Amino acid sequence: MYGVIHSALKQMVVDRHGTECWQRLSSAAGHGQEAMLTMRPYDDAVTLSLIEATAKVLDLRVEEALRVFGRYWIIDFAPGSYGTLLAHTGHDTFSFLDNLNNLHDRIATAFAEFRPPVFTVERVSPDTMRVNYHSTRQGLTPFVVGLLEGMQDRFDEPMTVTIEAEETGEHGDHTTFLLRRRHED
Amino acid sequence: MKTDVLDQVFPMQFRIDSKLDLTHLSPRLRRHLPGVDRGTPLLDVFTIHRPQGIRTNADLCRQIDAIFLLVARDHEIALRGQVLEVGDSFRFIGMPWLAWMSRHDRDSSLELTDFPKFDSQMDQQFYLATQQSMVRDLEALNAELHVLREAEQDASRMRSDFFAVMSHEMRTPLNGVMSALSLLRDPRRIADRDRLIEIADVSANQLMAVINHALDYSKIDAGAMEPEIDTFRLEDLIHGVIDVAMPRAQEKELDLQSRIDPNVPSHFEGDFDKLRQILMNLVGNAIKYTDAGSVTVTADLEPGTGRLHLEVSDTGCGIAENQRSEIFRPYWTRVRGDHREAGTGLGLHICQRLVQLMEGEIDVYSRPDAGSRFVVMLPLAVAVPPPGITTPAETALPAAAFSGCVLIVDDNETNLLLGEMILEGLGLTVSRATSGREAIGLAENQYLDLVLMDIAMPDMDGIETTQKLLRHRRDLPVVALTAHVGTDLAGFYASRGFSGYLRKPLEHEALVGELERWLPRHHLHTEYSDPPEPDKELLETSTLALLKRRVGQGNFERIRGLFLSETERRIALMLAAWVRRDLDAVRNHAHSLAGSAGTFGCERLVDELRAIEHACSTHECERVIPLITGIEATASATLDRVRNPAQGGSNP
Repeated sequence: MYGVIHSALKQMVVDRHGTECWQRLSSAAGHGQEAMLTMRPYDDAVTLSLIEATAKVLDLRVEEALRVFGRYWIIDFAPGSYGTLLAHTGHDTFSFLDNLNNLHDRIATAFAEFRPPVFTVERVSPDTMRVNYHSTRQGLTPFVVGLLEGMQDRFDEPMTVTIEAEETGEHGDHTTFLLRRRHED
Repeated sequence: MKTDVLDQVFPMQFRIDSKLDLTHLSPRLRRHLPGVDRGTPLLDVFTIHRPQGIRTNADLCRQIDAIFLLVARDHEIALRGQVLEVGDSFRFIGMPWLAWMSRHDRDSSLELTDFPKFDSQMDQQFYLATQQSMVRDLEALNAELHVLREAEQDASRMRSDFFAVMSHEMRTPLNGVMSALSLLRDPRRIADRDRLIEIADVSANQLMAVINHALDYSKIDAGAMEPEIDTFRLEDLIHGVIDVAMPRAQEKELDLQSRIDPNVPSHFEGDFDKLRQILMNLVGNAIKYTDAGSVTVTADLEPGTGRLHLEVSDTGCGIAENQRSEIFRPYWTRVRGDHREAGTGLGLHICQRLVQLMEGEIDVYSRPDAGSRFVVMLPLAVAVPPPGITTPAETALPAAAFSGCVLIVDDNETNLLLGEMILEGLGLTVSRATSGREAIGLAENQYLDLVLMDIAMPDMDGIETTQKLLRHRRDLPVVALTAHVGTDLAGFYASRGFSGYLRKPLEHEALVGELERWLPRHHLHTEYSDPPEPDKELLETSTLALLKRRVGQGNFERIRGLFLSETERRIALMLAAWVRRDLDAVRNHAHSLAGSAGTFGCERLVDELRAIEHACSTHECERVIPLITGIEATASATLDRVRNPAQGGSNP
């Protein structure tokens, strides 16, 4: 994955737990500032070691750490660094998810080694959307859960997110989410 | 091409007729221009920013090859593209003009699907954002590099200063040792022999102090020093420091005393050695910089926090205002008059680091010519006194002597000779070996009680030699002699079969402590099977005077009162125990009294009590009788002298 992911992770830890916590974590993962170069691709093992170290230092399970990171990504990091692009991707959760592949396509023109997941969406009803997440990587579904939960806050749209199906294998992960808008009176 | 296909390829497109009226808008464009119907004049909907001057069909045809920049009159959308002539109508194909919309904050309404896939404007936005991230990365790296470079420069400066100071401070006393020893070889210097030996001794101790400072400083700087927590008695700490410092204080005729607040617990959990080092340094400095008056060590508890508050105060020359903020810095040495004092300048810095290691604080309050107060605050946990500890009046053990056969192994002849002299001075039979092989040969032919083993030896080192010795005799205690410094040496040597370790150069106290673990000990005083000497002094007044100086007048009166009443009580109990022939009780009372009597310099009483103690230990009642008959008289006369030390005469 690209260093931008590591930068986002670092920013999350520093914002919430301080620089010293990040230094401990980075040292535990065996990486220094060198792993934070935005435009540089890194082996997935580097990213995984940073996430595992984050989970350990924050006393979370890895899945929980990924979920927290997913929320942070969509609410705090991405708008700060790529606000305009994100704003054009969609004005509500469903339109955002509709355009997510388009966004990834454009990012891929700049990041030649970008291997994003693919989201295929189906509007079940005006307030319900089925989202199929396909990734060549394993174990990142919790990050997507965090993203989807974070979108509710970003667009101020209370929503129920459920997992209808989940598969993992040597070719990656495929998870089917069902998103249902909640209308709270 | 069909309109719906064109709409997919060019989301922002419209058609106008020859009168420049709109005849079609793409669905995406219609979303941004609500209320615009077919037939609406183009120029009612858009201002043509470029090319300029388009009003008619002819104007349009003339500039058909231009890039068209259109801004909606309601300013909600701006477009860029080109116009194609299709028969008698015109078709505009384009995309959002992002530069204008961003500049006018109108871009929030746009979506990715408003842009053709081949349009790079959004990609440029992404590149711009990424470029900004890269700049931030570089700035962060630059800042970190700057910090690291400064730290490296500081460290390099510290290293240079360290070597410069240490080499000077080591050469000075080493020069003293070498010069003194060189002069000792001159037969014409016989008369100066004692003085030269003293110079060599003092210089060697100074060199040792410099080396210890250097090692401590390096160890602390490397983060390799950890407090070693154990239970200790506060009085042992303070009185131990006072005892060592007293000779120097007496030389300068200074009053050296200590005061421990009665509310302070007797025992704490802490690193006794490091605390002793801190106090020794502070008391040593206080004596050094005080020419008249007193040096006082006090201990109490800080109100509110309960931290142990140790204070060393003196009536010395004080510290100037501009030096007070510097005194804990490394290599700081005091300026007196127009010259700088000698020394490593690390003592107070090491004190500060040791205090910080124990999560405490150290500070100084001082004014020139008004003395100084060094204050140490330590958050030490109160400890429960270990069982067996009775009263604070017990005295230090008498000088050491041991029995047994010790093998000392060292490839350095000088170390061997010195070690042999020290051990023989302690009453031991000593064998010597200069190598591991020689040590093994000796061990096979004689019974050894203890082995002191140098570690760093050529051919077979101390560890290999020890392992071979232990294969021959598993219960043989072998103590490592090592110049190594590091953490957990005890664990390291224990795992290799050693029973303990001693640091080189050997310190007398440490050696005696180790010998006590393995060898039987006996007193250097006269064996108490003989009657005590009748001419022994009733009271050694100098001991009493020393005690008074140590504890201060007020405390002295109090403890003297306690000693007098306690002695009378114990004598009565001892006699009562003798009546019922309870020799164990007699022995215990005699032992306890001898301790406190020794503190007050009651020499003859101590002798007689020790004799009673020994006779009771061997259950020789017939020997106890003459001793216990006279004890009451001796005690009474002694107590009278303690009450009035100025009275002359030693016999009752």
